[in-house]
Amino acid sequence: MEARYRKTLLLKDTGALDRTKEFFNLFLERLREEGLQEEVQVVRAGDLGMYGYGLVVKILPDEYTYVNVEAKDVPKIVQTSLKKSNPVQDLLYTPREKQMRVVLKNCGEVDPESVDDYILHGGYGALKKVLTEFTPEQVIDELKTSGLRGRGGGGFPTWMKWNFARKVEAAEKYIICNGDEGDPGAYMDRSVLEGDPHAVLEGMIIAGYTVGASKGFLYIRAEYPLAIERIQRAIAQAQDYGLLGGNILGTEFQFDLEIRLGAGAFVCGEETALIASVEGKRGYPSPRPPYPSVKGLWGMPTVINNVETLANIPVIFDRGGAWFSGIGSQTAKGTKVFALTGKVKNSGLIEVPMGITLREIVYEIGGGLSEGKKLKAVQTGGPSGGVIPDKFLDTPVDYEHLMELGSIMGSGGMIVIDEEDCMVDIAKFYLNFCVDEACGKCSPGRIGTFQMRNYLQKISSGQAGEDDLDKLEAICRATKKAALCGLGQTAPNPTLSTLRFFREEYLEHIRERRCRAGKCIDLLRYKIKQEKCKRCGVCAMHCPVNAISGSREEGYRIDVEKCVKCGQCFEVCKFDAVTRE
Amino acid sequence: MAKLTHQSLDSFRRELEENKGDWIKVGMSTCGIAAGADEVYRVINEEVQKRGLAVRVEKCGCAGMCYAEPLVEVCVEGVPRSVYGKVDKDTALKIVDKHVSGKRLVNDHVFNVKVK
Amino acid sequence: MRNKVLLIDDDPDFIEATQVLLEANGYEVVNATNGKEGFQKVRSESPDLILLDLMLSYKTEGAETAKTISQDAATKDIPVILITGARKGMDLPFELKAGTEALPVKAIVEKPVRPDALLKLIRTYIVQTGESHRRVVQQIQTLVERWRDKPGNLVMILHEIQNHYGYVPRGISFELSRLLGIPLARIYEVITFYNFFKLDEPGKYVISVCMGTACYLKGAPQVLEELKKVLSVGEGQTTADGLFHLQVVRCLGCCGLAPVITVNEKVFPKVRKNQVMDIVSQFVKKEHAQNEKEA
Repeated sequence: MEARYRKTLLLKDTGALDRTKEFFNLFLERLREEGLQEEVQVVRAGDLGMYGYGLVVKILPDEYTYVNVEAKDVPKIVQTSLKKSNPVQDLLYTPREKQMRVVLKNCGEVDPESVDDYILHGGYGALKKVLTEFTPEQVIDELKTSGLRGRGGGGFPTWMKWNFARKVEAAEKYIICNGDEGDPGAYMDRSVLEGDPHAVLEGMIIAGYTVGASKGFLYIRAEYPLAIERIQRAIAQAQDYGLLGGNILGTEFQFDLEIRLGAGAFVCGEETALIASVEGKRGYPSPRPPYPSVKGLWGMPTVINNVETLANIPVIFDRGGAWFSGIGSQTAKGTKVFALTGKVKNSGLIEVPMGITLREIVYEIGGGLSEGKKLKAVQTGGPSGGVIPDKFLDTPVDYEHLMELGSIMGSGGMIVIDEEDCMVDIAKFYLNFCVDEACGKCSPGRIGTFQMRNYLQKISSGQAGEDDLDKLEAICRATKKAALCGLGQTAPNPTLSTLRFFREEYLEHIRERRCRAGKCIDLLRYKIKQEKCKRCGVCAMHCPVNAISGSREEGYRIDVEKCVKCGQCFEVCKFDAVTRE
Repeated sequence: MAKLTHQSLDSFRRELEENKGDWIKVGMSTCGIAAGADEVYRVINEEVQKRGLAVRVEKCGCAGMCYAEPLVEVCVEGVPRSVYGKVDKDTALKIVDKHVSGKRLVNDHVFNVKVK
Repeated sequence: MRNKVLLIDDDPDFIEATQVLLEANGYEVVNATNGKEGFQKVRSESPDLILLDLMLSYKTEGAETAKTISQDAATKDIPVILITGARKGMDLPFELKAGTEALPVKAIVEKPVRPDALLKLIRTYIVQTGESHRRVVQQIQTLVERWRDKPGNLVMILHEIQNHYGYVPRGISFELSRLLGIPLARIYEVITFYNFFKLDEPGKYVISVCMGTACYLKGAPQVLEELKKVLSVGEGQTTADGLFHLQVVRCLGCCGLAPVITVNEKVFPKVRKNQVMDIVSQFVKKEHAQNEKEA
């Protein structure tokens, strides 16, 4: 059909003042004067994914982007780019796309409930290529070229995992997709499972062909009902189309998939524990070696890959291992999906090439911090990771660099922390999580985490001495060395890392009994500032424990002994007369 | 459905390509649904049917911009392909009325445009 | 389908109060005022459970009725809960103890009866025997057959059971142990390991507060405190009326909308402390409207 407008102009103010409406009218007026109002549509955009560039104008279909546009530029733009189709050189900006969609290329693009739509977007082309053109050895070689490493946290080279399992002679072998995304603050796997289920299936089928497995399991958290439903449907569709089952795509190869549900145990993200859970048992980890690639599910060689790793497989075979290894840094190839959350303006799922800096992620993709707050640190790797303070924001994001800073890449949670957050409190949050989730099998994991939490509790309630810090560190080191599984060994990481970079905050809690962020309730003191108090008595009325005494004549006081620090008075005072420190 | 083979996969894809017309996609992952995408999906579907428009309404996964959910993407011949963010019921109606029928973009909700 | 409870008692006030309580909790109630009428109703109504008063027209009439029920082949599997008034100084010709030859009942409850205790007892015994029990056994059988040949099936079977009941009732675990031929301890070992499985019936509306890192930083603890205050329950507890169950969950995966709470399937994004009351009352109102409609 004929287009109604010859051109479209999008505009949005990305600076501090919102002049979008003002410029909208300026452009309209100018277009009318030029008699172009029927040829160009002017549109106020909601957001253009650029921040701090003043007024931004985008012109379609020419794809010119102009930044820091002022009122005086309006006639020039109309004349040069709208009447004609030339760029205004001095305003032109070429947006450098920070994000790169490899794993998420289909998320938001393909209908996850339709196998046809996946095929329409090139789906199962990689499978066809592998089944008809590659021997299993060649698949391994191609993966080796690609440099793909596991996206679940450890970063183990995927080709090695597959190769171990391929080489073992066994009656049966298994492929497991680890979709037990338990890190608080991470939801990459959910998005991939919900948004592009067939890509995960395709990756698993290719893995099955390579290692010689005929059966696979998708282990998914029960807390993700939509992901389960969509995977279930995808499996049925794939079976229907001859992409699963016997004679896949008319070849000799046979492979089938089933879903197994997690049941809310964080430890099941650890591969040996996950295997126990798929076997229908308690999800206890077991010592490695033997590694699952050699002796895994029901004692058979088993490849366990994380959702994101598997979703990388089809695109690697579509575009070649060499193409893939061209993305990313020296030691880490390809892209990584992160769940960027916390005190950042634009929370969301992002996919970036490995080696990008944290600064680029937080400020250029995430749009900086909300409400002009100051960044204190970025947390990666969830309960197994650590914090990276603002002075290291220019660190490239890859496995080795994050490790050097005492954190890990992890599965992809990335949480922005600002000055209103207390580091002791954050360490305590992660330890509470670990204490809750400790499976109880080994004593370092069970007792070590519990004792660490007790020390943190002591510090945050102002009852600790400086020697407690040494004790805390000693327990951290012992747990790191002695715990049975990866989760126990990494549980001290958030504490160690906050101690390393924010020791002064710990010392403040201990020496001055002060929490600068105002998060540690036991250290708070509420007070009424007499010069600001209007003696309305509202605070006294709201105090649940009658800790505020006085009258309209004499003024009001808070009895520190009685006060339970609920903060009611602080909230109800209209005159900011109640202070909290 | 007959089983696909490695010989028939590509011709099947071509067949799908030929039948692909205009479409609207609503981001229907957990985050989208939490922000109200199911109602948006329903409203758009009803409105498209009521007007008898030749446009397919589909679901899609999360595009990553959680802060802007619910997200609706529209690809209609003759208008730049656009992603709308923070779409509520009213905006959903506007999208069908202005973008699909009227061939013009809706103000204040465009989050991204794709030229391809 | 609703479970049927037969109430045999000669005190009309007690009958009325108990009937209201049981009906409000989804049971169908029939009643009788003496042993003879009671036994007739046991046969004609085939209830799933019987609440039987010990002292009817004479002080051992209840005990005798229980015996009659237990000796009849058609009724012997129906669980009986005995209710009794003053315990001391009754001078009974037998010991007041459940499960004896003289008192073939499942449990003994003293008056005044605490509603929650009574409801819990009923729930405990009703699934193990009675008409509904046979249906349950059948369902479990089909379920087990479907999974029998698949190794590692236990977790998946428990998921299906919890999906159906909202928790894993004890009686069903017994049945499962029999059908799968595995010890009960094996089943409980698995249930108690995983946070997701519940052993008690949760409230009608399960409120889950996300404690993922993003939600934690953005104020989930304050929302949780407010919920505790509004509902007067602690974490992992159910309100006295059985309407709300409050729980904390690990990351619902909607970090962009933090802090998030869910009430059953419905997700509430970016919840502020002062919205909590509104959210809760929304469901209370819904419940009232439904009750009125039914009445």
